[in-house]
Amino acid sequence: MSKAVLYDATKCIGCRACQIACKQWNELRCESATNWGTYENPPKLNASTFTKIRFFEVENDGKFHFVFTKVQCMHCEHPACVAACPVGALQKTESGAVVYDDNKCFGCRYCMVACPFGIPNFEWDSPLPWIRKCTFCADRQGGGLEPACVTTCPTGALKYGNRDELIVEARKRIADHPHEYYDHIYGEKEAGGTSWLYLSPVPFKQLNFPNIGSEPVTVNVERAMGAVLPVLAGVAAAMSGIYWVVQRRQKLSQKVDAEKKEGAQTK
Amino acid sequence: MIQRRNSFPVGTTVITAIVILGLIPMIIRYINGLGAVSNLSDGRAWGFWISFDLYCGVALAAGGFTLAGVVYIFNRKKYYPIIRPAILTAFLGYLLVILALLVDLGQPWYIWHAFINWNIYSPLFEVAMCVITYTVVLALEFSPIIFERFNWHVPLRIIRAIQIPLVI
Repeated sequence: MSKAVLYDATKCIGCRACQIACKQWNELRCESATNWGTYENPPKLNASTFTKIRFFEVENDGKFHFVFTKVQCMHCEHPACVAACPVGALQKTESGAVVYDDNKCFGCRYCMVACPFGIPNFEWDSPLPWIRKCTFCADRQGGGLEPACVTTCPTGALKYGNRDELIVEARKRIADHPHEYYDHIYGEKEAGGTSWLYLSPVPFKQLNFPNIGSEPVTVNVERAMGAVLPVLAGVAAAMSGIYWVVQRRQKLSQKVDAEKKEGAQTK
Repeated sequence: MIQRRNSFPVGTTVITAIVILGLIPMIIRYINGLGAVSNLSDGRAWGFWISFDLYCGVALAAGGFTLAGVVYIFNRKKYYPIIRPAILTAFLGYLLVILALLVDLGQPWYIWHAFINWNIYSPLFEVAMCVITYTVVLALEFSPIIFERFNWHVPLRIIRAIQIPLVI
């Protein structure tokens, strides 16, 4: 059964305890940050920050909203990074987590280019850099625990459970309080569905969520890659054919030349 | 009259200087990481860097490779003399690609992982396979020159026999 987390922006108070819990559990180093006019820090996810809370001040329907969103790996149902990785270092587990294997990766960074959410990050300052991203606490899940961020969340803005059940619950929340929620569950269909689901009081476009269609990103890749071998065989056959024809033509013309010569000699 | 040739003309000097200059960032990369030399970031993971270090080599190689292929396939004896420089250029091109990869990859000594860990759905896996096959093919196509130099007839004959399938 695929696990998921439901993030409810109307319940989040922006305390960023999830950020700290994530750092603690994954033993990530601290970063020196500067005040850039918001409580939000660090400015971007990076190799030592797998999750962060973003702060938004937006206007919707003539009302002011101070909204938070949590960003981390979405753990797609059909992950582009898994399809892209040439050595299969990224894998989608049964529990829903997209996990990364240090022992396979050779650092080509193709996953970073492939990800529609721009999540995998690289250790740019290390001589032997790895890719780093949220693991969905696959290690904790394996031991029957929730992800660290969910456990630590004081307001219940994060809820961990089975994906289908969480979608049902999200629908119910929207139906019960139609004025508090924007009528959309982000992650239910985006990029073929993700293991992280979002509810928000304002349209997701205002929260800088990428507008992604419901088709899995991997569909085109699979189509293209499936065509590689037949095309290769076709090209090889065509080239062999051309070679054979050219050879034969040259042989024939040589024969004709030889016959002509013979003819000239007999005359 | 013995023609006197300057063994180190201006052009070679300039190119050597550029190569030595290029070695400096390469060394820095192995000490301080890719970020220090490439100005790449999490938002631009490949950027211009890849276009220049890899695709210049590939572009250089593609021309020679295709040219040699066309000449062999259409069996135009007239053009045989240009095959060798073409193959050499292409071979050097792919060697450049691999050299660039050794700098560019995060874990260069795990480059052989492409041989054992297969993900057939990855476009980049296909690229990796292409780089491997092309390099091998070009090395084999180039090898007669070396065999001829040392008069090794047996390998030479083998190469001659498989040449056309190889090209295809």
